[in-house]
Amino acid sequence: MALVAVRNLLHDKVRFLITLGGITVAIVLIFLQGGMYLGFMRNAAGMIDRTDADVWVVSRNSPNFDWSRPFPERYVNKVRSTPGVAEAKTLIFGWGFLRLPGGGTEQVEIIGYHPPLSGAGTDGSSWGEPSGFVQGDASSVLGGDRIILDESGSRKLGGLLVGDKTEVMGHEVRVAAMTRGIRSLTTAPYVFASYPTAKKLVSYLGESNTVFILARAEPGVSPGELKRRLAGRLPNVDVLTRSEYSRRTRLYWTIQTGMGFGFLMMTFLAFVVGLAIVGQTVYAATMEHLREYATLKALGATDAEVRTILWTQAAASALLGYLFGVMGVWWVARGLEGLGMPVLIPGWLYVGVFCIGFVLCLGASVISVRKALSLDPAMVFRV
Amino acid sequence: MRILEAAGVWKVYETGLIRVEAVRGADLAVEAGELVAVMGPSGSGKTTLLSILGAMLSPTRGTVLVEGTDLSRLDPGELSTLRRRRIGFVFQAFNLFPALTARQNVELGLKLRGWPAEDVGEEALKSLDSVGLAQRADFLPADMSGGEKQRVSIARALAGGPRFILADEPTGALDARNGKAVMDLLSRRAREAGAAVVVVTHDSRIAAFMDRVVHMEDGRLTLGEAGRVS
Ligand SMILES: Nc1ncnc2c1ncn2[C@@H]1O[C@H](COP(=O)(O)OP(=O)(O)OP(=O)(O)O)[C@@H](O)[C@H]1O
Ligand SMILES: [Mg+2]
Repeated sequence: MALVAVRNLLHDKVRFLITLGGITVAIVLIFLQGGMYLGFMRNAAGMIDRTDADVWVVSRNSPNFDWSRPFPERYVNKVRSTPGVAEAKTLIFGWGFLRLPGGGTEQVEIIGYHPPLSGAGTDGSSWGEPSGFVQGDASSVLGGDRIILDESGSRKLGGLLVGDKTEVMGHEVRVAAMTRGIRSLTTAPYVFASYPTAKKLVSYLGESNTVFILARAEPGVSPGELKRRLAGRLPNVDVLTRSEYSRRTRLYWTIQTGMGFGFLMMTFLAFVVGLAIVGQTVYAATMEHLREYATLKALGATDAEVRTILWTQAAASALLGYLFGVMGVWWVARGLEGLGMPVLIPGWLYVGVFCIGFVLCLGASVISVRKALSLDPAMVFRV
Repeated sequence: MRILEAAGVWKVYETGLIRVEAVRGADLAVEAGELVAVMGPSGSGKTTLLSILGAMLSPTRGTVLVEGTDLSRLDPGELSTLRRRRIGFVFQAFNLFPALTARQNVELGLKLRGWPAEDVGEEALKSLDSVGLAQRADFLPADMSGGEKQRVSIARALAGGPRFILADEPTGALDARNGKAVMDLLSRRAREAGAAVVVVTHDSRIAAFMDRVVHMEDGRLTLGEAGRVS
């Protein structure tokens, strides 16, 4: 029966190609929706996930990293004096404008961190400083009025290079280093500066305020435990473990902005369009082969055998369409990455999309299967 | 030995307001080794009768026994099994699978009959050889003449040795020479293997091959004499 299935599938090559094309396009679209969503979420929570902090202290109800408000800087002393805290550091986040080389300005997100005294950093742990350097290192901002850009941001900022001078919020700064692979979710690129410089650039913060406090626990103290201890001592702020804050940020962008719904909707549409194309070609193919199915039933094939043929065709189409889809998405994803669109396709997404492709092909065959099964074997004698 | 025994078979088609009595009280018995032709004008109920004898259509009334098995006692699954195991079908339009080669078409028939996979290849070739088409085994139906296609379909129907062969206008799409070849094959199977063969036809030349010709008119059968059109 499998032979009949495969032979029939390959017999009408044009139709088979249309079917495959439909599946492949649907698979690519679904992959891209999933991959872009995950890529955006990686960027959204990237600043949080990159740190080694066990606990984040953030303004009350801070919905995500990019939308946090200032709170008193002196809280860091309370954090440091809390039993179980090994180390705590402040981190600034603020909005600003950068003057472009060709005139005009662009909005940026300024991050002020405590640079290590040498390029290697103090103990290799991460407190919100940039990483992935192409030129310079995290200590390059020492000395003041220096900033670090990411290549993706520099393109958007008129092609600023290391050594170039520009202005942020009216202060003259020099580009001191360049990273690769740090992107914000918003359209505003990140600009890294030393803590004091950032404070100057983000003047609305106020001299005695900070935006985040990152804390690491002593060995034997869990992030959850540390969070409980800190929450009791700090009023009017939220204390979250790193994973909680990361999740809150992702959830915010997913749900509050409708971004998640948009991606889900697009995925659903891709699925429906794929289903329609594949369902229609499969149905047309079945109608064209009705005489053969009737012959099979006349010769005594069971319903299970007739089903096997159609399901085998669906499965084979799904498999091939998926393989082409994976090749296609690899190609398209590279193009999108080049355009600055993040596409992240982890292993489980491959499995997930494979299952979706399978369901799509099986779903597309349901009507055809019912049609073939409902055939009256006696119709074989009617030409 | 009696292969087929049909008694008092009626078939009434009811579609909406229209009621057609396609077969009206047909009796027919066919012995092993016997060739019977059913002849009659268009619309007289020949195909309907053949579908009933072939366990594809249940009669409104009457009984059909195939090798002693009463079809009315079988459920649809058992009817399928009976068709695949015991009956060989030949169609006017050949009904070969266009995507399969001659050999694969015959193999498919054997697989349906429940033959073990390792034997079907050899048996299919033997069957094709018996219709003189061993050298066309790897041809697709599209690359064969009408006569060759019908011989492949006969090879498929006869492969596995069913005792009961049903053919609806097997020569309808063939010229006289090919029609004769097809009838030769069917009558040889009846004589040599003792199969019961029922052929529905318009073609009066076929009568020469037959042991018996029965006439059908308005759903009724009138028995004819051996070797003569009645
Ligand atoms: N599925 C059906 N539903 C309703 N009426 C049918 C059906 N099949 C056949 N009939 C009617 O039953 C009668 C007998 O049809 P049948 O096909 O058995 O005739 P036939 O002798 O084989 O004709 P032909 O020589 O043209 O093939 C015809 O009047 C036909 O219209
Ligand atoms: Mg007919």
